[in-house]
Amino acid sequence: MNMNGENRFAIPIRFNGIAGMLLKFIIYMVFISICLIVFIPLISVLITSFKTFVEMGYSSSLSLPSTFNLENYKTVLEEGHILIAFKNSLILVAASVLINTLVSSTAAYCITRFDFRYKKIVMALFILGMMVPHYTTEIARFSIIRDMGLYNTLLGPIVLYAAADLMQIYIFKQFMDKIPRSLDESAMIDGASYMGIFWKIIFPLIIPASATLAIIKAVIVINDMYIPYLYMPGIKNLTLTTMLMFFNDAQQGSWNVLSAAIVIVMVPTVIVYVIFQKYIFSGITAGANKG
Amino acid sequence: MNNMKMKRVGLIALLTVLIVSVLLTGCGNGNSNSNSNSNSNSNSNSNNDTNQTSSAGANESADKKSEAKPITLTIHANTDNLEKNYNLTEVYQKSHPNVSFEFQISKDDNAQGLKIKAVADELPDLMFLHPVWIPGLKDYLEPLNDTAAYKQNKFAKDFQIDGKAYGIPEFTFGDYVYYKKSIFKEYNLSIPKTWGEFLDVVQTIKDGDKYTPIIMGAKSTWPVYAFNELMPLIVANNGQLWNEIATQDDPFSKDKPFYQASVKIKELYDIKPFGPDPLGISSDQAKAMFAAGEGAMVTFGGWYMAQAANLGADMDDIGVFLMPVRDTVDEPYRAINMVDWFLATPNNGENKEAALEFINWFYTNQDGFYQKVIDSETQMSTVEGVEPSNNPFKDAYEGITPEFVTVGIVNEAYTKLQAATKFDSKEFGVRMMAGKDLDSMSDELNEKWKAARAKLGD
Amino acid sequence: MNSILRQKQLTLICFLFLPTALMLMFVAYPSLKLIQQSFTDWNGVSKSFNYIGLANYYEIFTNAPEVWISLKNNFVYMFMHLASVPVAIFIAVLLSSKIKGSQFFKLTVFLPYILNGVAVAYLFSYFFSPVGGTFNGLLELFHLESLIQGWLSDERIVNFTLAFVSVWRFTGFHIVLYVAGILSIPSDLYEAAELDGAGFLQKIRYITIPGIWTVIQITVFLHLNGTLQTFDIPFVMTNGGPAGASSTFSLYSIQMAFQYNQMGMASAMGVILLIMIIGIIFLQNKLMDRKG
Repeated sequence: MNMNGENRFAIPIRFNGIAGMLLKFIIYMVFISICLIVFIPLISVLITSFKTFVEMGYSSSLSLPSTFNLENYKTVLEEGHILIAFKNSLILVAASVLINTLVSSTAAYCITRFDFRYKKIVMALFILGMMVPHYTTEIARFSIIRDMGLYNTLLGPIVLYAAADLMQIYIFKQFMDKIPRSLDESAMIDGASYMGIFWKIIFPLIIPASATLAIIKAVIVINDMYIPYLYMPGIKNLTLTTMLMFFNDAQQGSWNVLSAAIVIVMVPTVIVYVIFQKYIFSGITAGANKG
Repeated sequence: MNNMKMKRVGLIALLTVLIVSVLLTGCGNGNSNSNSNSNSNSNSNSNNDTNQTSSAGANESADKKSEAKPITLTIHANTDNLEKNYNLTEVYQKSHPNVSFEFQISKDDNAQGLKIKAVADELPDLMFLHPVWIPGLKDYLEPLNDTAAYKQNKFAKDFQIDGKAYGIPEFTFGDYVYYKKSIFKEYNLSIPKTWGEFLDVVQTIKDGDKYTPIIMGAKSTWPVYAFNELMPLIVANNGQLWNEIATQDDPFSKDKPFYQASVKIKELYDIKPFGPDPLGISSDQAKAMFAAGEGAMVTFGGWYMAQAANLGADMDDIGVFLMPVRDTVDEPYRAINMVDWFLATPNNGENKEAALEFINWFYTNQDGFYQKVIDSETQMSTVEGVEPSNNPFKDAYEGITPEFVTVGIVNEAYTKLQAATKFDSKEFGVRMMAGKDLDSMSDELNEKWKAARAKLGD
Repeated sequence: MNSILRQKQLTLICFLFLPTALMLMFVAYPSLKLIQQSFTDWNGVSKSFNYIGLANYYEIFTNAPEVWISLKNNFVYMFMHLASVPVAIFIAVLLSSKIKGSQFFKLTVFLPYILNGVAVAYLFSYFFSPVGGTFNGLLELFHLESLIQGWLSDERIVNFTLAFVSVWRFTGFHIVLYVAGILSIPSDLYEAAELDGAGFLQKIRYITIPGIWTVIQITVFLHLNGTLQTFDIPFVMTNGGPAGASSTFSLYSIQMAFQYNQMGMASAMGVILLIMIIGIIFLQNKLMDRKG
């Protein structure tokens, strides 16, 4: 089976003859419309980011800028605290995803492989975690974070993001259920402890699932607005999201400068995405395959 | 076997303790309000000591200035221009070398962030507040009646709650209609002196089909304040109108000033002078658009003059006049006077001494800093003895003896009723602009108001 | 055997200590606080409050039309998201065929999901702006000016515009999940169906859809749960405006808490939301749990 499993398991659609050509044509039309829907807003922002304030006034939004003007980007870099925001977002994502993967995989291991007295309560806690509305409970959470001394630090949000959620436990469980217990047993006979079984046997086998969940978690963390907004108001702790909001507040309504900020925030993610797309997709594919 | 297990248990326990303690200490940032400088932890301890030993110790700490440990004062404001444009840290450190500032910027209109922080005991050391926020936060603010800043301030005493002044105002300013002189010339328009004349001016420009008569950023809701929030005060000739409304059962009836003002406003809105989509334009966009040359008029406070200049507007083409609400020239010309941005400090802040020191420094015009700020921001001064070096608004008052209506602070009764009925004059205005019927909205409001008053038992 | 038991307990404690502690602190405790607050008249800032029993709930159900308007707006999002499910499945089917270039289109479709949400929100604020916005510019280009509306200011349309942004962001993610699911269905099933004379649509209906039923269940749950709690997009793009027309349940409860100083009432809304989510989970299980 090849890496993407594409050719082997694809839905067989026949493309013979005129009907086939028509079908192909329709399919390509659909794809092209998707591309348009995705790219037109992005390109329009790219174009605007090169326009000057005066140009915005008299030119239509679709016209190309008169020059490759980098003024706006300069403004963003000077006043937008971009580097700080990048550094902070990176730290947040790396730390949260790492801790979260460890925490949820080990928790899933316990729930899958063991039966213990408080299992139902623990499960109930996780289910509760998924159902509780985030925004209104934030006020109560706030005092806890503050009492722990984590307000206005990067560690506060990390602690919040690292918490495992039910979705992850469920997906890990699906994977772990497919690993035969006989492996565990033979490892125990060889003298491995429960934790050893986890590290040496289970964990390596669930890496594709971990990768998928890590990617999803990373996207959630990078995009989250409310937690950094509430817990890290200082300039030193700006993340990409709060930096944009802060920048938008500080600016005075000029779409061209804001567009430059939007582009700067989006470009690195796009680059990472394009470079690592093979791994991202194979991870999700493998993940959903077994699920 | 036992030994190995013991070791393993020990290792695990150690690891757990380590993780938990790292979480609890938050990488050394502690409970202080100051930012993540490595000095801050030792600071908060020593500041606490100073606070506890002598509340009147401001003099002592002032003497120790040159040896004092570094302090970072957090400031909440809607802009960091004090630092960016006026180099606050540099100037302040000439006399207070150990103090630096960290700005926490928010354009949040409801002080949402501040309220959360208040409850969590994390208020910034210094906050610039809108007067409407003060009643809600007063339990957490330090009364400033004994400060030099208060004594030298023209307006602080008029904004007390129960005899306590919780903030010292930064600016006082009027509310104006900014207009393009060239457009007025093009249509041969003179400055309107009555409401009827104002409507005529608007209609003429609209009929010309070339310029949008008034640029309005209604998407942000607050820009309609010039009409829906201020005109009732002018019609009633009462800057404390809202407090009076709190005592009435049917304040939105046809014979009351709010409705009467709304009728006039409706006349304006019905002309549709704001272009095709005022509800889709934000306040920032509106500010930028007018500065870029769009539209004939815009309604903002005196603070907009400096902003327009910063946005690159052609200042020679911009003039101001007071919005004429009166019906005939025989009635007095009433002008709004607003007092805003009250500087406050929390009553249990760790850097309270340093914060009070700053408040006094700022509001007694030390190092000429305050003078510089009001001059560049085209604001009027609230500090006795400090007057702006020039007055870009004098044209608006030319030939008029205005009767000033100073917008006062709302009391607790009104705040409670407002919360219970969810009444907001600006949202009311946005609904008017969206086409909702004035009479039915007013009737509905009266009912809600009466019910709320009955329930709150006053 | 004792040591095995001990070991098991140790492992359990070590591995579960952190997640349980986190859950207790950041989920259980705030939920209890939320419920407690919903029975008070706390205004969110002052140091005192009174217990008022079920008064908040009574008020919400009898005297608070804005709450239900905001919930109705949530349903607009829910409707558009659920409507996107069959479209997403359709596109996923196309993308998993052997057609050339499907890899590139898969990349394209997933792109919006990874982009920063706030950046996307500001992007579309510009896109739909009435002054110099790209969308209106495009309409003008094709001489469709008559279709120009207040995309973000007309209360009849604003929720659909915002829901469109939400769908734009998340559909790609679901499509990729469906593709992955589709590709895991072994082809012998299709071959067998072929021998039985099944046409294309029948293959989809009897093989593909059941094959990815779990994935569909998961995505439908994500749609329902997500749209009930929608906050980011209306918060950044319109702040619930104009005058509450695009407010959502979460957004309105936050406004209730901080703009109107009614933390007690906002907490009651939070509890109601919690109950709704539980209800949705039950409903969904009942309706969709035909196969595992």
